[in-house]
Amino acid sequence: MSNRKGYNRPVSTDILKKVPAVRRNVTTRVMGNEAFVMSLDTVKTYSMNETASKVWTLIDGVRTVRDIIRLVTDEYDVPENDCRSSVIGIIRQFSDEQLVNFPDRHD
Amino acid sequence: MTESSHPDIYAVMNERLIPFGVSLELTAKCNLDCIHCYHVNCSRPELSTNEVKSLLDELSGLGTMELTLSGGEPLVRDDFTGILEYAVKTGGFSVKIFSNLTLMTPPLADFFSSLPLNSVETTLLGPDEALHDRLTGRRGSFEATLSGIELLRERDVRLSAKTIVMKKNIEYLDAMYHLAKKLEIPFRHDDGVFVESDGSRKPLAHQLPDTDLKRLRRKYGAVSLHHPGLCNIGKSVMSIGPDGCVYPCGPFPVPAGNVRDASLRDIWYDSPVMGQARKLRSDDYRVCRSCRYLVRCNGCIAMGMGLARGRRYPCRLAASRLRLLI
Repeated sequence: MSNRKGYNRPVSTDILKKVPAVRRNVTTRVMGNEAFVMSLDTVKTYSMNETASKVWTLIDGVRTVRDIIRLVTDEYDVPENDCRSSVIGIIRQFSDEQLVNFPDRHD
Repeated sequence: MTESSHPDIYAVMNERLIPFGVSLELTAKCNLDCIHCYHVNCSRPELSTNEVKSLLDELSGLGTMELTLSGGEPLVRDDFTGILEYAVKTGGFSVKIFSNLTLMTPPLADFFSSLPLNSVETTLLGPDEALHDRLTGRRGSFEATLSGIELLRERDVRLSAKTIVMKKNIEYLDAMYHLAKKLEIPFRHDDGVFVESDGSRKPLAHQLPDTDLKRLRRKYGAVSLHHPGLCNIGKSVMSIGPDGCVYPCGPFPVPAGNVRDASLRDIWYDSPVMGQARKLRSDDYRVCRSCRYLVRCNGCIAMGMGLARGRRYPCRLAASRLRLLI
């Protein structure tokens, strides 16, 4: 579970409280362990590896980033610290690509 | 997470046999009578609203993401808005709509604008009322289409237009590109004219002669989607007719089954016709690349087989493919 380019930023506790939600103009197909996501705003299509797909399917507009980290940690049976920066990096990438937003900010 | 180009995504889906892009012709009815129309074949009654919704559920389960709703003219269906809403909100599809837009109204445009649609594509057959109306067979259709375009543009619905280049409008292609620029919408052209679904060759009378096809492609580049060996037919795309007949692609002359007789999953994975269509590999086209008739079919399997129907056609490959299926 490695971080992608530029996503090894220090983890702020603020983001852990945020609730990511899939944006309205985004459509998804999950096939096995892989998700395919299309933004109708940018007309870009993305394929996701197993970890990113897992994170993606856990984003429901209710769970906080912390909740998602915990669930991924449980799923893969890895230490939470190892998992945290990966999950946050993935969610930041989703946000950068306009696939998710944080409508219910707690910060 | 990796951003994938359209061809890359389809290449993955081809390998996995996932019908990622599906064209659903909702009706054979149309309020226009375009000269080149291949007239959607409909041997049985059109699918009901509930049948269409069940079909959309099946498509979603099979992994379809890009759904094109077309016809005929899809807006002539009374239940079109319900189907569209179901496709977008329940099915979660990226929906494209092919429509002549002559039936567009302000409330309908508002409805389109309220949904996360992929895009709407319309057709212009000429740059002015005189030519367009003559080729669509309906007086007033040019103005009506332009009005529909304007209604959607005002509401920021993603919109594009295309034309089919034929003998009667080839000299106006530049003017059509100019009109589209003025309307501020993307425009493309295609030079493929297909035989009718019942095998009638009537539309071919309007097809460009070889010399004009070559001239057109020299001037504008190879615009056809049908590059030899790169076709997704039956591997990641399929087409479903208004009566539930399933085809490996829209112009393919032989149905692979009907959703009223079998599940879509069974047709997609087990139909002999689908199997034959997807057996074709790029090696099968090697001979096509040097064929003197390539200019006519442009490497499109479906077009070649269509041309081979009903009379002698010089392409023996197309004829033998057709014989395998019938």
